[in-house]
Amino acid sequence: MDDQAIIALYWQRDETAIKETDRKYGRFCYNISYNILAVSEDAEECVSETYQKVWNAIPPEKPAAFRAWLGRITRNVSINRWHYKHAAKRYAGTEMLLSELSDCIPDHKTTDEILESKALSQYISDWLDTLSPQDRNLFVRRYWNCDTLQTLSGSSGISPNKLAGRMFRLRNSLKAYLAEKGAAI
Amino acid sequence: MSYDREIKLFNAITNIRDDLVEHAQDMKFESAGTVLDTQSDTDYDAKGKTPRKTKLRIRWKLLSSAAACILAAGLAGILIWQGVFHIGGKTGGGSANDGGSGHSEGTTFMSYAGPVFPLTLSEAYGSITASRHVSFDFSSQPGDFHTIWGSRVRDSYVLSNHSEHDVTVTALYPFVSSFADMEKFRPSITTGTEAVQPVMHPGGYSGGFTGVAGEDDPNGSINIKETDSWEDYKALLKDGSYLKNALSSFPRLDQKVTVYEFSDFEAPLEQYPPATQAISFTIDSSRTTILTYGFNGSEWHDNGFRRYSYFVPENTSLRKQCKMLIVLGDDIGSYSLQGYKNGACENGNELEGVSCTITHYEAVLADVLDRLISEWLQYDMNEGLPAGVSKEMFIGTAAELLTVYGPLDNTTTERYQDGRLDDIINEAYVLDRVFYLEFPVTLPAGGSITVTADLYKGPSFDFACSGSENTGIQGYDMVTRLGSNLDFESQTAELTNTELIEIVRQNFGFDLSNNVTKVTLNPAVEHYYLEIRVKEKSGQDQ
Repeated sequence: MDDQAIIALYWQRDETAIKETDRKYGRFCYNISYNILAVSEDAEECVSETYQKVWNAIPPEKPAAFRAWLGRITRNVSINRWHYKHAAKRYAGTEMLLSELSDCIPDHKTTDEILESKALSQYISDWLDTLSPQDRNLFVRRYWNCDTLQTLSGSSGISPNKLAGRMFRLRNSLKAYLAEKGAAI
Repeated sequence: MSYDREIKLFNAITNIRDDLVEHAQDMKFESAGTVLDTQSDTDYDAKGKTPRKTKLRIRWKLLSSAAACILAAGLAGILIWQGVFHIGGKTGGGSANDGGSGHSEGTTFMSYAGPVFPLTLSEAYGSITASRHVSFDFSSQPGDFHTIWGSRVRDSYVLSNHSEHDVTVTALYPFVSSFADMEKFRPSITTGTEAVQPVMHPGGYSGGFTGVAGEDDPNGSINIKETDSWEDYKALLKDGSYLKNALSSFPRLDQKVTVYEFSDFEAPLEQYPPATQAISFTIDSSRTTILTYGFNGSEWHDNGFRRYSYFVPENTSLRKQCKMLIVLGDDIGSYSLQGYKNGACENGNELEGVSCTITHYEAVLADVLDRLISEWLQYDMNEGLPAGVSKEMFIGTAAELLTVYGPLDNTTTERYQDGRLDDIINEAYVLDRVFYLEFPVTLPAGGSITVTADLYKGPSFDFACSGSENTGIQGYDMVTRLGSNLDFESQTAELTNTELIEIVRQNFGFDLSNNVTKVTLNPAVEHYYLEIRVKEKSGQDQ
């Protein structure tokens, strides 16, 4: 079933919309959530919560890119859960991912504008546009999908060590780009 | 720990544009490398010096020496062409942020020359401090016309002894090279005004190995993975074990082996120039290891069957006369010899009239390796080893490669698991490593002395034929304290003879347009990089 047909089911308040969403994107959402939480039960709960939010959001929403929109909700739900359970020190994978992201944060200067999240997203999108397709996709898969380096290595044929070096350079590149734009976080 | 800013960045990434997310979900990665024709399992890397292999399911290797020489010569020609005609003469747009593979610590070049390392001492002395000054000289060399390729580097130290006693220390100056490039890259050392003759210590191979991209073994080890960033050197040197190993003695190969040496070759070569002879036998591979020298092909079966073959040598070609099978562990027992019309050792291709004499004897592996390296030096190395490299030193590094990566170890690197000593000897010669020059320095009580290393530093670069936007850019870099136990009071850097160059990217702080050619380095910054290109010729020059 194509995405527009699934969205139409939501608009009709037909509960098969959730089954179709799960059939088509259940694994996609689960992977994102699991990559953040690393606990299967928690990831499954987050996926269920994602579907509930989708049900509540459509209508009135009519997402143009359903998969990306769905993934975003999953990320939000999962990172919130991570934050909530962070004190329990259960999710080393996400700590690692966040500590990697700290490489991308430019140093504060007093004149820098503290960016709103939306503007920051725009800068990051613009920076991604400057990359080669492969680097762009690798960055998105690592920091949007939260794929591990081992997973990325399996799908790209690039060794984990080499990927780590590449990610390091990409993070530094993003940091330099944000610094050049005077963007503070 | 609070991750507030990281979470904000995480959330911002969540909301990047839809199309960026969608494309990444549907991506099909390009191979990280090219899988080469599986009919021949050896190609050459982009430097044209180290063989690059593809993985074969059936272990079969047949490569004529002449073809290999032609291929290597062709690639060497490409490199020469690139060096003379492309690099240095071209200019293109570029800034610190627009390099395709650029990042805040400089471009990752396709060919990385390695950094200029700091001097260190064999042991730390609290009473000794150092001030360092590094200069990069970009004057053109005689016959170079308008092309700069490489830099003369002077890496100079003022060592000060703050104690009340004279102190004699052992200094170690590291540099990146291979034995093959030794004469070009070996620094000359001066203490005070005296040139010294240091003792040289070769470290182990500085790179690693990788698998065949696109296959299911990204952690494989059949191809060379050269050191391609300063971070790789950081990982190599930071805990001191590499230096310790470089200063220790080489491994002893005192195993007893059984040698099968082939001689008195006969074959109808006028009618069948590629006439081939093969020896076949079956071993228990858990009890027997085979090394070879001078063979061109091998075939392995899971049941222990082995066939090793060589083109029958004559006196007019480059085919090696010396051919040996070296058996470690249980002897091979019975074997059969068969001639073939060419390298295809298969039924229906047999050839009568192919014969040889096999001499069978016991020896110590170290003696066999010594003999084969003598043969290799005579056969492959008309000019002998570079000045300052003894045969014993080179035998030691070959023994080390054989021991660390070869079939003598249970964790054999795929690249060497077929036991071809030809490969191991040749690669001991061409693979990059960090060498250390050791020399004594005497510091008077309360006084100081200047130690200077003068060296030629080749650039890091992208290959001219690659289409990279960094083609024509030359990278030079240095590290401020990696691998050094010296207490640096200051470090400065300088550019000289800069008339022909312009800076593309750097983190030194030079400003040629304002004559800022000397800068003070921040000791907290571990790595400094400089990327230059040669200015376009002016109308007057043309």
